[in-house]
Amino acid sequence: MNNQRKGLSALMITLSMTLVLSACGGGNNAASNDRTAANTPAEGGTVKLKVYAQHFDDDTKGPFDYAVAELKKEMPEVEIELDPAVQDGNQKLKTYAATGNMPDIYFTDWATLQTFAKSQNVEVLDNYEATTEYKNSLNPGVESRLIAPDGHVYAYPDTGIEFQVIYYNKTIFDEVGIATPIKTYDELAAAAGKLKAAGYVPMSIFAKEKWITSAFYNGLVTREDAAGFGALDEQGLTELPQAFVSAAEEMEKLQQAGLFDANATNTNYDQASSQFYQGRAGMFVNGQWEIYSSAEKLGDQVDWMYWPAKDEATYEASKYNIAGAGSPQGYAVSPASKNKETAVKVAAFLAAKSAEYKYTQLGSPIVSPKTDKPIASDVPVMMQRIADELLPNAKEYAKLLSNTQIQNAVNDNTQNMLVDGFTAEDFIANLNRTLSKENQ
Amino acid sequence: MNKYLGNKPALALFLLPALLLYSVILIYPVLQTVFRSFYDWDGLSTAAFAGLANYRELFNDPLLGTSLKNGALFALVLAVFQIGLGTILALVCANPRVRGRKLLKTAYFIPVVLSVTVVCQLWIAMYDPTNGLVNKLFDVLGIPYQQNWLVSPTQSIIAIAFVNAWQFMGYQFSLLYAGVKAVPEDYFEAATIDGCGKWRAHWHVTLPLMRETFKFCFTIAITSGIGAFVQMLIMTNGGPGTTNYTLTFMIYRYAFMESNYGYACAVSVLLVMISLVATVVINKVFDRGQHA
Amino acid sequence: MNSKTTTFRSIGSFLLQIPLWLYFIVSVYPLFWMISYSLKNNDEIFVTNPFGFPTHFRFENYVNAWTQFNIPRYFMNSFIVSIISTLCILLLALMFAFAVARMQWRFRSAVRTYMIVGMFMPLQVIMIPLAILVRDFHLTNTYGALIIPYIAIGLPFSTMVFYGFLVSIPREIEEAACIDGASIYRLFGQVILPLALPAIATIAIFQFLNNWNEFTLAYILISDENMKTLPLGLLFFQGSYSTDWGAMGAVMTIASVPMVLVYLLLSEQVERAMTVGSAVKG
Repeated sequence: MNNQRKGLSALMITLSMTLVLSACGGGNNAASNDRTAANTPAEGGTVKLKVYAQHFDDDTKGPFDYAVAELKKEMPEVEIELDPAVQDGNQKLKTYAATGNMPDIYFTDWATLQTFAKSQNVEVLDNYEATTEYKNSLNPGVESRLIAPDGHVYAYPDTGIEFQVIYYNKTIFDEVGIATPIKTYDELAAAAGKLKAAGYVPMSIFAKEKWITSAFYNGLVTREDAAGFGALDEQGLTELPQAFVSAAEEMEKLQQAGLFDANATNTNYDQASSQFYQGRAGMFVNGQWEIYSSAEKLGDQVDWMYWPAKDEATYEASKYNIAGAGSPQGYAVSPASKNKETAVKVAAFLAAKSAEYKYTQLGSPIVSPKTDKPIASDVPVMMQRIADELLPNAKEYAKLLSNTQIQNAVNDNTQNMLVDGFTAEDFIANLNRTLSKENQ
Repeated sequence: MNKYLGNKPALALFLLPALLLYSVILIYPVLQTVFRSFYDWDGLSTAAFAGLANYRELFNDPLLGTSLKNGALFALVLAVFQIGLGTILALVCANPRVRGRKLLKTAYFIPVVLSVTVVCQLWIAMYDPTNGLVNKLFDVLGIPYQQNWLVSPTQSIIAIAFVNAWQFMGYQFSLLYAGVKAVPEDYFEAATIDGCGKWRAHWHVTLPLMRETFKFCFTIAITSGIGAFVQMLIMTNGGPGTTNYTLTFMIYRYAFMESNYGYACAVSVLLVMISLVATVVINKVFDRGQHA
Repeated sequence: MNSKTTTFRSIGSFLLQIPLWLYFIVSVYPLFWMISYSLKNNDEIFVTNPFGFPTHFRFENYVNAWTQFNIPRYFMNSFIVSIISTLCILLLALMFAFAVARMQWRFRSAVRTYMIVGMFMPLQVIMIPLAILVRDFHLTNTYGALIIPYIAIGLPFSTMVFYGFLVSIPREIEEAACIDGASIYRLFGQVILPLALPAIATIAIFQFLNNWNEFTLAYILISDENMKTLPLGLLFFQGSYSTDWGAMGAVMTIASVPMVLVYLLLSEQVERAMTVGSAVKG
């Protein structure tokens, strides 16, 4: 009997609790109260700013912590409260936006900035003094990183325009007898045959992530159309241009030549890089950022090569077309911030200092703003080659594809290209369908 | 008696807490989803009323066919494997003469306890075309059936469904076991004394008495098959291309990758409708069995 | 029965039992695999030794996991959230199922169907409305932000299973209770509740596991370091490019092994409850 009474009173508590809950369900004013309470300047003139930025491993912690330390010296009145972000496709940030709980400053990419621009969750930075300064400090060629296709500035970028290259293992190439540089697709296909015959995975690729298959395809496309995927972002374009069609056909041929592992579409970064670093794969495709770990793991056995093309003439002509497009990204500011003026300054400062860290400490020349300090002393040889050979000669960067639907279709279909039985015709038909829907 | 069981204050006390909490936390968002499915909305900006446009687009979406087919296959694998094997194992383990049944019962539940991530990682390795144990097993058994399990479009969905089926078989098993245990033993004994074999006695006596258990076991299996998502996300990320898409995967894509929230809501409404219809059909099928 | 047939039978039943033990291995292997996994590095996990016993015990994965984040704190949060939501689910769902399965009133089947609808709605799509509700109830960054949604989400499934069990209990039970003059509350507490114990124990395990392993809602609704639950610890090992799978394995092992133990303890209770339950019924 005693037990029963206990059960009943617990029940009453739950009942009253649910009643209370549903009673305040309609109260939307609660939300606006929350917002104003979020960041009131404390006494003593301190300004508290909530920053949502990537901060989960050495690659992300280093630059951010450095920037915050520098900020302490420059603007001691600002107090940074970090909300560490992880790679979640910006789900959490979007939830913050939907619940009106935006951090003052946040780091995000172009896809999210586009949605936020439409819904007024990002401050347009065009007329801020910090923007003018940032523009003046930019490295040549990286304007597209700061200025969006619509002409506005939404975020301050730290990195420059990143791009993909093909890495190769010199020792394995020598052993199998592959002459470098590989200049044409035929040479690449032949190399794949030799590597495969010798028991190596010709090119390891973490094709479980769709962006890398896209990037590979973009590498081929940019040999003939420097704009790359940017060329697809055009009203009225309902059919895949010739450069894209032939790139798809070449990719199919390379796949049939056995360039990729049969299980490539289920290979993640850790598996693919492990294959390459354990000396089981002859080549590896990834962004220029892979230079650091590949130099660390393979020393002078590894180097990068330019993308091959259909023939030597095209190869030479397109050598310096960069297989990477600058999309706006970086530190953005919420228009709801109580301390917007300060937040804008801090956002620009964090971006610039983060770039400074990457330049002076990591030796990466791929940064958006210039730094007057010297570059790190121990730049890997491969990065030096990029700085000396590629960047000064860089003819054209690929253009940005802003339409996420087209981008997703490209991602899906390039991944499919790695699967037996999926043909270039399928690829072209699928993309034409998407293009005619999106570009009408 | 009717008065006794129709006690109004008691009824309110028993029903309202669950109903209220459920309505506020789940049904209210569900209603919002239905409402938003008629809008062109990115999830954040002001929504524009679009009438049935989302639904029209949905029925022309090439992803829908893939998703429905995959959902159906997934549900089928879950239902056959989990309930088939679960029932047999439950009947066997309920037999007091089977040695070590306590240990067996515990073991069968272990995969359920592990997180989906662990189990998927294990099976990714198992399905590897060159080093995976599945292909090696066929090799050892002398069956020339070497497959690239997670790449081929039709096989991969079945392979993934199997992982889910295998991991959560223990779930269904324990429900079925509880169901078997709830059948009074003398019914079964009476049937065996009448000269029925053990399995025939189960078929004619135990299983029909477990109708309610089967009802919810099938409902769980079928609807979780239709709504499957996480395994695909972890194991193949929906690919290659979009070959492993399901309705929930579509929702994930449109809501989060393409900021097409209104459209994702329309897909959700379809998903709920299909699941509801499946539930009703399952109930009807089992109730008809009762009268026949 | 002569001894020959007995031997024949026992050999037969032994042969019949072989598949049972094969499936036993298939079920237990992942536990072994997970523990091995947690003692390997990425190369061993993916390339050199995916299935076997680790050749070199990398306990540093555990050290790594332990130093990356406050495991005891996360563990405690997970425990509090899971236990409270499980208890509430059991109570609310059982009362609801009792009212629907045993009591007599109009709209019973409509209400029952209504209760199922929520089970089908994918979390991904109600996430944002849910996050707004949590904000409006001032629950953000409290245990309530997880407990309340977990209860609501657990209800449809649990009520469905309880309903299935309660509806098959013979009608005579109420009649007897009514004749004895027991109140309906007593009927529920002292007759139905003990009868439903096997189902309660089963659902308790399910719901506890679900809540214990839940990731998506916890990730979206909790940002306060002090309120995070154990599955969120996995996030610490995903780098910008590379993932420390071994350390993730360590966290998963730390999270799962207690569950296995809890299950071992509970399943004993379930078994006992079932024996009692069928004795009462039979």
